[in-house]
Amino acid sequence: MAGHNRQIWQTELDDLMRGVAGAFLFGAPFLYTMEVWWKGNFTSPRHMMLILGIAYLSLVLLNVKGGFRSEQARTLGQILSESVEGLAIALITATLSLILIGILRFETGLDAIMGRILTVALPFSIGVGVANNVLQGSEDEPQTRSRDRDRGNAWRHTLSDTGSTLLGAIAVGSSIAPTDEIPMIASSLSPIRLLAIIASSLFISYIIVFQANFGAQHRRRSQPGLFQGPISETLASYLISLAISLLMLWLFQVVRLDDPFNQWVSYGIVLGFPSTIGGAAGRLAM
Amino acid sequence: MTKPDPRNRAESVSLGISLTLLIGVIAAVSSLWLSPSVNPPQFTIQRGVIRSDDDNAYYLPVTLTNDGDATAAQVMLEGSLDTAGSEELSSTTFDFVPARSAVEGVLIFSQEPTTVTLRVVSYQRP
Repeated sequence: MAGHNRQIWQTELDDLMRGVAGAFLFGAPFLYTMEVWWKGNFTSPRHMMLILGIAYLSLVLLNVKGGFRSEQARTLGQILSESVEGLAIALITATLSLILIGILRFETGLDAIMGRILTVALPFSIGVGVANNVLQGSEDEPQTRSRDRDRGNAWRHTLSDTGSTLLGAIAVGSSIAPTDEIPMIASSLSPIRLLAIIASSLFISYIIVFQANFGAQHRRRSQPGLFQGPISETLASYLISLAISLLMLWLFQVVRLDDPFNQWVSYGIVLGFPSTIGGAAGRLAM
Repeated sequence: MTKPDPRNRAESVSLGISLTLLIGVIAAVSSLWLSPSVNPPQFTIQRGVIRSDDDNAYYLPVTLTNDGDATAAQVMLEGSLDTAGSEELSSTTFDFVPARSAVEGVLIFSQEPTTVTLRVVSYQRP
């Protein structure tokens, strides 16, 4: 019974983490858009309630066919309560990530705090709602691919995983690198905050591919190659995404070769956060 | 499936926490709603400790607090310093100062700004 009990909590944790992963996959580009937080500065309470209502309604609609739990909700009550949980996940992840990149501070007034959280929480809640659709993938396809893949050697797997991480990181990195948000966010961050962003990037990358028990997970664990230990895959993909981030920043001339070292480091880490999420998504999609 | 599904316990814990959080958010928004923003932006300015460097530049940190209920945009803060017959001006603009929040900036003068007069010159309604 105790083992069964642990299973319950494990499943619940996996479900919640899948929701978190979905929130970041969908919401990261919005998090790095300053207009979103700016609008939050003067969102009236009436609009805030409306945003909250729209987020909840979207979750209810998405939960009919998707959601973040591995077991699909069946009754109306389940759909409604899963939507409450989804909204809570979106609010928590939006709040924590806004604190992480220094947009929410103590001296920010309650109006602006609530406004910023709610405007960012809307895309995050849609991300929670589509978590299963995006991350679970189709159930049959991995079977054939798995057999196909097992024939290859460790090098081939490593190469294909590296490639998909690169593509995902480039897709997200190149769309965010030229924006003003990178210098804006990076310039206000202390070294401790930068370390926290590194830790969060690693954590989110880890849960996206492993912890949340996604479609490809079981297959992944049985594959040889550099990307197969959860820790080594997370680290390798983070380093790749960080390298891509720096390359994109340099390509778009956000940083130049003669810029100070700490600017390279802080810009790279700030862009590395969404790029890593993109890289993890790339490995799932390929 | 006649006995209660034990999975429900973990799920109900999540649901409980989620509901509490959501009620908290709704309560916070409602409290903002019920105390409508009637007061226009109103600023108080606090001076920090003056710092100087070798090039005879004096840095005066200022904290601008908006005590009103409405957000102000492009808030321009100006400091004027009377020095031996002439007046030295220094100003900075804050993009957004949300209601009941504070922002920080620094004004730079060439003389020690002990007698500086600080005032908000202008702001925009977002």
